Amino acid sequence: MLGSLAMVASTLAGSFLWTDDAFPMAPFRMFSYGNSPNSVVRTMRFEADLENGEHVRLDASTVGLRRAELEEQTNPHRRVPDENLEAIAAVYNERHDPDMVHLQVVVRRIDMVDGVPQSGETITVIGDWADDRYTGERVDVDLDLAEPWGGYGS
Amino acid sequence: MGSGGAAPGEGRVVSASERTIASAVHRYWFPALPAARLAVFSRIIHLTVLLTVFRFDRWVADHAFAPRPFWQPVAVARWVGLPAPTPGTMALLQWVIGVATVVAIIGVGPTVWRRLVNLVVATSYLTWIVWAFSFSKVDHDRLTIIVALFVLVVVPGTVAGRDAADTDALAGWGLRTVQIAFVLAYPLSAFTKLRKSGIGWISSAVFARAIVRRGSEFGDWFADRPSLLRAGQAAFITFEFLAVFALRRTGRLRVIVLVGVVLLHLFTYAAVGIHFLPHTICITAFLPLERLHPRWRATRHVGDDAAPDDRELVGA
Repeated sequence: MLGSLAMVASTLAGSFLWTDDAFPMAPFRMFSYGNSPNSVVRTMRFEADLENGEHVRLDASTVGLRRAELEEQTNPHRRVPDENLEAIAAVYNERHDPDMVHLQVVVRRIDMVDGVPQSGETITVIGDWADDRYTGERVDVDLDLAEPWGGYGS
Repeated sequence: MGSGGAAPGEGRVVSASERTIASAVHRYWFPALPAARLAVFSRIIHLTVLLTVFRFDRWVADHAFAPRPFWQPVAVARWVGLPAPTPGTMALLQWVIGVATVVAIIGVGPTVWRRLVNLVVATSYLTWIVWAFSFSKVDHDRLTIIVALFVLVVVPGTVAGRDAADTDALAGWGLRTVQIAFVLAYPLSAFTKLRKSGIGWISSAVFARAIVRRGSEFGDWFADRPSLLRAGQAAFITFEFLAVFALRRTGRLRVIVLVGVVLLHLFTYAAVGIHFLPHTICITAFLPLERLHPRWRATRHVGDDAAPDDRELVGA
């Protein structure tokens, strides 16, 4: 019974005091952030050029991540560090053929008005990386460089 | 001096009210339930582990090759020095979980052996989950099954060497502990919503946002009806608080709440495609599962109401 009481106490402490860092006794916070009905919804994906000239859209699972993990660690208002992009491309290239030679992180934004998602979307590139083999167009990302991820703070 | 007071030099006298409270606490935490119920529950949980690791949680295995800058170990991983998964260690872990879980489902051998097998399943599945959630996104649908797996280390869930209809207070303790972990998820989720967003959560566009991000045909139908979504949010959080009534030992209200839980999860799955299976499967801890046990069926007529402490059955 002591074990049961410890489980209950630590579960309560997780919800009242702790953060996700305390997993498995983390707060039950999925869907707990209520956004304004007049806010925006953002999602992230990759766009890439392959060595054979093909242009592809990829989701985070292509490189072993869930989309939410990419989004949690990628500030949509900051430039993605090149070393992160290079690491993503390296993972892709280890597992796929032909190689990725150009990678962009793209933010898709949908506006909401009175809680209703509006048609149309805005696309912003927040990270652009290429290796020596790529000769096509690049996007000059005019954003401040992202700080390292802040940790399990909430 | 009250009746429970102790005179100098005498042993403390336990009052009748204290005995009543102690007895009520004991009856709640250690209900006499059929050992066969926990035995069936054990197999359901281990089968769920097998399904999640080899079917539903493929994304966890994919973490083995995820870019290393995204590895963000949670506290328990840092404390034990758990490194990021590699393709080799991930495959090894899957094999350990797979073999141990199949052995647990087959369920033969002495109690000490079964405890050991269940311990291997529990610790290896916990490692799997820590690897799952150490890339900055923690889901909250795993606590109940982790509690269930460790409960099964203490009470392995077996009817070996006894009548399948025998009741057992330890089996009751195990199932009660899982029930409490299961139910707590709802009011604590509601509390976290209020803690993070205040009462404004109800009038927010949180459901609309989830539908836009994870849409389905069913969800898209709701996306253009914000009033309906807000009403749904109000009902959702209210129900999450009311879910505490499922902690009652018996009664119609408990049944209504548990049916409501099932409907809530069906709605969530239809709208945004999240099934929370490792959590939702634990609702079976409330059911008269012994009726599925071959030995129980062999010695009793299905539908008999003669099971000891039938008050614990959902619907009774």
